[in-house]
Amino acid sequence: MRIYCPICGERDSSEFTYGGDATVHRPAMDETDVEAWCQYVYNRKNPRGPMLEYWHHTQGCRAWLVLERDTVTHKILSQPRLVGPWADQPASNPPTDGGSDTGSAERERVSEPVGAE
Amino acid sequence: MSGYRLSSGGSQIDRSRRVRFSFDGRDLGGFAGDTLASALLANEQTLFGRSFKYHRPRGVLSAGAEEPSALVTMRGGARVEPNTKATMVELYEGLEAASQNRWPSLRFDVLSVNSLFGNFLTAGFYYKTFMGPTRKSWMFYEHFIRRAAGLGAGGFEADPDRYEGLHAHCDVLVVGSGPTGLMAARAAAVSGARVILAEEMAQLGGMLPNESESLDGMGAGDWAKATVAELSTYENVTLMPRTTVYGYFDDNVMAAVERVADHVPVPAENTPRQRHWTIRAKQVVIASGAIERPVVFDGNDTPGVMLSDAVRSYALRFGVAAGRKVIVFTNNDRAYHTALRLADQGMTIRALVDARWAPPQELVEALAARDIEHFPGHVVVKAEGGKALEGVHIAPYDPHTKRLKGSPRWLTTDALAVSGGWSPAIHLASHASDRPEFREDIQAFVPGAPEQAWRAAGACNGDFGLAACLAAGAEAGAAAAGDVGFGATALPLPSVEGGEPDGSAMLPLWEVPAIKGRGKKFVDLQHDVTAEDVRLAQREGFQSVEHLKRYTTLGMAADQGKTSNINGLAIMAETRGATIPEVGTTRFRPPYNPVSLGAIAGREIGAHFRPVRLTPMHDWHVAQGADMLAAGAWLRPRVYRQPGESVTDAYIRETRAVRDSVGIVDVSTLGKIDVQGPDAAEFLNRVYSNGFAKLPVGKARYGLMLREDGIVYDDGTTWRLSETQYLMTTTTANAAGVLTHLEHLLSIVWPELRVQVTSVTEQWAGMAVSGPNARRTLEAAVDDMDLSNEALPFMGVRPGHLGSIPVLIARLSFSGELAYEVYAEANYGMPVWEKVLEAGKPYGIIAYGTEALGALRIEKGHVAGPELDGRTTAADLGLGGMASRKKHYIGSMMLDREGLTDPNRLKLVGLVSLSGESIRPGSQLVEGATVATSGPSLGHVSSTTYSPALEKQVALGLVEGGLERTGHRLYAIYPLKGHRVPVEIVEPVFFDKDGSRMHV
Amino acid sequence: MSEMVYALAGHAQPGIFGNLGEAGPAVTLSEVRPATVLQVGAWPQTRAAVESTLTSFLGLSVPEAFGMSSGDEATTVMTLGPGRYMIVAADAGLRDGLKEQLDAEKAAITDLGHARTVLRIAGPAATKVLRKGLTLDLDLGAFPERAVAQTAIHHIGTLVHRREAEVFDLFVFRGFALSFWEWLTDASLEYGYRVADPV
Repeated sequence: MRIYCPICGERDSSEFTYGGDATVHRPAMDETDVEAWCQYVYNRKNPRGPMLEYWHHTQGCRAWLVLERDTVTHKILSQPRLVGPWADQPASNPPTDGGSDTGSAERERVSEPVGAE
Repeated sequence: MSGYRLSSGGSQIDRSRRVRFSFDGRDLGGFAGDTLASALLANEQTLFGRSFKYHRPRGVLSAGAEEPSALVTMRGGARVEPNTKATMVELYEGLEAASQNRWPSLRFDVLSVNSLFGNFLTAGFYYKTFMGPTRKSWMFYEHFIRRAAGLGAGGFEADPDRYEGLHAHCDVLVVGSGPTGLMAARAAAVSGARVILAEEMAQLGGMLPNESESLDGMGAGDWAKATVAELSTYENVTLMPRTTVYGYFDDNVMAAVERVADHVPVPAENTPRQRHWTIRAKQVVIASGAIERPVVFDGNDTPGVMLSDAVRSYALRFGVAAGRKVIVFTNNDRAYHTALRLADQGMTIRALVDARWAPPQELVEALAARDIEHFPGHVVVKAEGGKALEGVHIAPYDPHTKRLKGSPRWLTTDALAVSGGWSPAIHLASHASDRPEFREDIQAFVPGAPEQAWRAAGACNGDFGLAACLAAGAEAGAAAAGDVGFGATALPLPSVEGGEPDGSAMLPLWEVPAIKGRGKKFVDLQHDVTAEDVRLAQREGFQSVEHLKRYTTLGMAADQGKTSNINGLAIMAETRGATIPEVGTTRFRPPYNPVSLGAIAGREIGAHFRPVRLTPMHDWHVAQGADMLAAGAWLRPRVYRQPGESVTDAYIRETRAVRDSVGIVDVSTLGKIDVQGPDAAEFLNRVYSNGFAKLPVGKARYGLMLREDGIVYDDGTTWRLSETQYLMTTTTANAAGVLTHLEHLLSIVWPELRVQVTSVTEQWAGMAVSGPNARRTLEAAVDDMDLSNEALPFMGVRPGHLGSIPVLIARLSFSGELAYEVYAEANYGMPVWEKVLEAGKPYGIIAYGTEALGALRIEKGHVAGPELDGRTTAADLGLGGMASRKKHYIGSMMLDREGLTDPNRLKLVGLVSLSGESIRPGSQLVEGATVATSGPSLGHVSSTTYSPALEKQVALGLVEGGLERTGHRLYAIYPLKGHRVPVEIVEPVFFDKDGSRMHV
Repeated sequence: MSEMVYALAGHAQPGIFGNLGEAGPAVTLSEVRPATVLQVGAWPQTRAAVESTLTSFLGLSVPEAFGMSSGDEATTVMTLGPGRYMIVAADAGLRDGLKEQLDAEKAAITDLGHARTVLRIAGPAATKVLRKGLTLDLDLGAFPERAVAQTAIHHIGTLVHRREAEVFDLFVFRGFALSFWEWLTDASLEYGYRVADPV
């Protein structure tokens, strides 16, 4: 599998580590309801199909990315975006239009993940 | 009767270069360019091996990678390689090969007696036969079955050759170099795209040397050579012969193996035998061609029965006649041209048997012109001959009833060239597509809709005609390059003269009825699966094609059913009364051909199986003869044994030396993280369970890090170096995990905090100097630092110089002794280490390793990895006071859950052995004195050591109720080894209970 | 204070090894020992100011594109990502000088001078050798001169800096230096390599 890192360009998936479900939001620090915390720590939807995920470029620039990926076909369905303080930076290395199936025609904005500014 | 070398011909061989080789110990000769199979045929060899289950005599069926029968063992000694297809072995001087699966010899194989038990050895016979009388019986039978199983035998010596892995990138990868592939590569090349053309065989050109057409006024084979020569002049084209693209993976990542040196006796020095390529191609053109099909009839595995285009190949490419009296058996037009070409080469073609009643008239006349007897509307019903084909029975055939219409007649022959049609080689495409589609017109499966960026063209896409292939290849290559952004100019197609029929006008003929009884009709030759086995599977309920495969093992051999899959599922369809598409095919998976483990491992073998990480003082430890221990990727000294010492002797001595005087230990492997920024203090306060916001500059603090669920994750000390800069230490094992944890928090949870974290584990060499004489030692070593208790109090951090080298000294103690951690930048690690040793000489300083490090901390009850096992809370470990109630931090909101506050949880205790026996870590703690009365486990032992201070065997453990059981006696049991040690529960501190030794 | 002990001390023996063609060894391997390796990290609000400070302090324009470098052997600045830079220089005093220019509010400066071993591979077969471990596209069009990439070679994190078409500087964790050197020399055997003195 190849993953496009907005900072480094397209790289082998072996450079990345899966970073968890990106639809899950950590409750605010002053949240006192333990149920809300349990929900955050333990419960996940595990969809069959498109899923919003975090990926960490551990053997590269160490940026955190958010992308949508199909858990059945492994296809990445959205253009990966940075998460964190630099989230709105323009990509320096735009993905090449190599005609692969994750072509520019299919890049959709997905729902805002936590962490994007 | 047998095959022989023709007096002339053979486009691939060089008759001026003789090559000597041996087979089963016999010295034989061939020519450069021969394969082992063609050379053996030329030497009149009919018998190539014995079949898997029945040990039936087998010859060679094909001329390519689809070969199911002619499996040989190559070479010998450490380079031995079993189950190699003789059709793929390029002959070289001194080649040694042997047949397999026979004893004592190929001609007289004792186990051919299995044939007599054919009726009992049907599909699934293991499951039905070896089931009793008891459940353990299988282990008895298995012993014998295992000895009889398998084909070739592997070697036991280490492979002396190199294998390497490489990576490549291109715009267009073309798989296959037949007419389609060559045109695709050319079209993509002229557009300027980066092209890789991969070809499985040593020669590029695919089937072109076999074809009768002229292209651009040249023979087809010559056109292929000229096109290859032209392609090799392009800088943007890489030609890769002897390279099998064996797998298609996500995102157009392709895997291939290049056979660099399989065709020479020994690989050249420092060069690999095979290279594994991982190719990332933006677009792929699959031009993998088609594989001819055999027909299923009684005795179709007899040596001498071959695929008809293989017979053509042997004659035209290798100058070898497959037999002296050849019969062609077909259901399509193309085989007629084979018969005609072979006759023109000087071979004797006795007859052509065609299942169709009305083949094209011009072909019939051409046969007659060469005195080839013609039997339209007939099929071969049985082949006979044992170790070599002697003849066949043919009979008239009704394609509507699929029954024989008359009595059979006998024709003598020593080579039967069979053509049942063509199957597109869709395997690679199927790794990356939806289900294959069945085309009625060619009675074959073609690739399904692509799920990756590829297109198929030519025979693998169901276009069998040469002109069609050339056009499809050119179009595919141009389109692929176009998709990458290279505008292609249309490539002129070569002119084609003298077309051959493509073999697609055919009568479906999968199986021929036997004359009487069921006959022995083989579908999968390599696994000895017969047509009856397929019907048996259906009767027993294994009707789906995936069940058929696993129950009968059809298609599971090294040839992966390349010549048997379609026949097998056609027979299943017939048996079920379904259509072939309704039965479907099994899912094709990589690898297309077997791949050696060597190619996959590459150079990541032996000491390089994974990278090794060394501390700056590593060479010193090794020079001292330390026992080095792997801790993850790191190597750490375990003990420094003196002559005559065991590991235990050594760590006891080292531990005593530290408590008595002074010792030094290399702690460079601890994780170190640079935490910087205006919000660093706040960040640390949220990450640690205890307070960090008010840590003064120049002080260090022990911190506990919890997981989000409240369980302890890691511990370490964090030093405040300035208002905005901290050095965080972690355990060795969690260094990477903690860094990721912090980065996650800063990117996803609190991106508004201005903090940056960077690993500096490698920037600093760390050494702990511990013992009553630690201060005196360091005072003698440092240049300019006041190390008194007032100037550098417990947990203080000071920069300074030692031997003119800048250092950071923190007064921290893991051992419970007066201790300092001396950090120097890594390239200064060794000089500082040596200077401290020099300064400590008057105090008898010793270096100590991880065993003594452990003994010291266990004596003091300091928790470490074994106690931070992912199940313990701070309170469990007696560190409840470190879980602040006054702030929010990772894990704080989950701590008060019932399960984590249950008083009956396992809590930290000390254990003393009452018998003097050592306690084994991992032992369970029970109350009962005997095995029968043990009772339930009340907890477990986490860390153990001999305590030189107490002169007893001690341990730390976790037990229900914890210190409420102080004074209780339990047993630490290790049932796997039958250990049972009586222990007493004590406080988890064995020495210096008030902790005063480190505060002097 | 010249008693630094580098990771490859005693291991990278000078000499010529492997398959030598008529033109001799096709790559030269040497350790590069820059006096300064610094990571500089800005925050979004301070990025512009930090870049401008770096530019004036180093006398080099900081590349806008990620994964590019500017400068030369004496001083190189790399832009690794948004607000993140690496400075590699022969001047040992650079760190202290830069710290004076950039306070903690503006940037985080992390000294990695001892944390990395830098190996240079140069010669006509340099790219061929690196393809045995790098999964990057090393075609000059995809990875031009002056380009920088953070990646891994056989699980060892590596920063690759292409100084020229066939000259690469590889930055690896000091602890992996020997393991990496063994891989690099082994991969170079096929083409013949010369070990030169440290630069």
